Amino acid sequence: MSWARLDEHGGVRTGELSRPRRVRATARQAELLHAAVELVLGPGGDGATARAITLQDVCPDPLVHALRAGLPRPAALDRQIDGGSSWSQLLELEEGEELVSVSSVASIEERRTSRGARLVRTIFLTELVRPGTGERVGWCTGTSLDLEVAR
Amino acid sequence: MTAPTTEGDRMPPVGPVTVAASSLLRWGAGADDFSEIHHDDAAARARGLEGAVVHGPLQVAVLVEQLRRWLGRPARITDVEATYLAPAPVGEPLVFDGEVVEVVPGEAGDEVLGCELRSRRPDGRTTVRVLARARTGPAGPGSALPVEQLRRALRLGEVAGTFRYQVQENDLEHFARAHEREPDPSGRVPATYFGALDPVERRDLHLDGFLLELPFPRTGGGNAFNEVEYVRPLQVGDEITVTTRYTEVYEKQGSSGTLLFRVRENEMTDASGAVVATSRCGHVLGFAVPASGTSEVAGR
Repeated sequence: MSWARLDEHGGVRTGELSRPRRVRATARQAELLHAAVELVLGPGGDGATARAITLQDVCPDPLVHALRAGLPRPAALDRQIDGGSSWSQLLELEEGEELVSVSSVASIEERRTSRGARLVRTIFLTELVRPGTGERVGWCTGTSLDLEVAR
Repeated sequence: MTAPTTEGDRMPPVGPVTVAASSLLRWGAGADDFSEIHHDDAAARARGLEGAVVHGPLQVAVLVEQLRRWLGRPARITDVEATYLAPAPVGEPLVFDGEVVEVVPGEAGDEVLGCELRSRRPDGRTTVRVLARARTGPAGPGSALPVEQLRRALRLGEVAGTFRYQVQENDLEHFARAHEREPDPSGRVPATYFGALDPVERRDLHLDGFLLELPFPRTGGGNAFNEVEYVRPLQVGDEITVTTRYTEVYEKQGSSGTLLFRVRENEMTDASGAVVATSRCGHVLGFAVPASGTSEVAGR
């Protein structure tokens, strides 16, 4: 079933923009995230690769990042669940580098599930740039689903 | 492990493995996600789940790191798209696997691998599906940065583009806020706003995107200089035509690697055709180019 675009859902509007935030690719945060992964996979053979800081280290959960930036999460239906995430990295990051991030409500769409329940999908987009030069480092998205429970 | 080269190559699976509480704790702290649904069964049930669930982005990070290890250096994972399909209950083991689904030539003479990765429950249900794109390393020995190719792409000395911008009050407000200042209540347009009438900074003119695809690590980049000479100040309501020409492309060795400079001029005229200002902007990109590196990009 195809998605239909909405301008607004649950008081949240498409295009809503957060204030810019300064974020930093800290080694401490990356260490915690890498440690969480290594507890699953075991230590990597290439330590340098394991320590490289990526956009996923700066913004490990794009939905959480957008909400922390102050954007509201639509919650007009029965259940809110996380639908997915994406990351696109254009430039390499340096440890400790400060970035500016701006999040927005990129799209709100709805459709009916196969059981007839209403499902609204909101995609939050976060763009990260280098302050000063304005170079775009990359972007990430987080998807929130607002779901009607079929009765 | 053997690095993948063709479609259908399978990433060695990991698991079944149970994601430990210590892993969830570290992820929560690193990702600033302390939602109770990841450690409190009752809270998770109140949200309609069967019990506490493993973070979706943690499963993605495991799959991406597994892929990174499999591909080895110098492959770079540039794009990751994850869909959360089903909850992964805390305490249930998961299997992480995937394969190469596409191999296509990259613009920089390298290869782009499309990979599909999955995290699965013991019953085979996929909890997270990831589509990842990775670029393989440098294409091989040859020349240095593609300076001549860049000169052609930028149409050095010729008009690269003509753009029309209206100076609007709300643009000035955005400009002031971007510089962490309040807009001038008198409506006066600051001289620095000439810098904002640059089609390249506005992403309206983009002739050198292939530089982002060069198979060399980037060591830095940014504005090298900005100069403006103006005849009169801008006014709200001005309609300004900007004609952009690239005037110089050159390479230098710097302490942070090989530096590639691009210099452009913007001539700004008003609605009557009178020249209002001319700006000159230099931009630099730094690359770690090995002594025998190559970077001619095919088809440009």
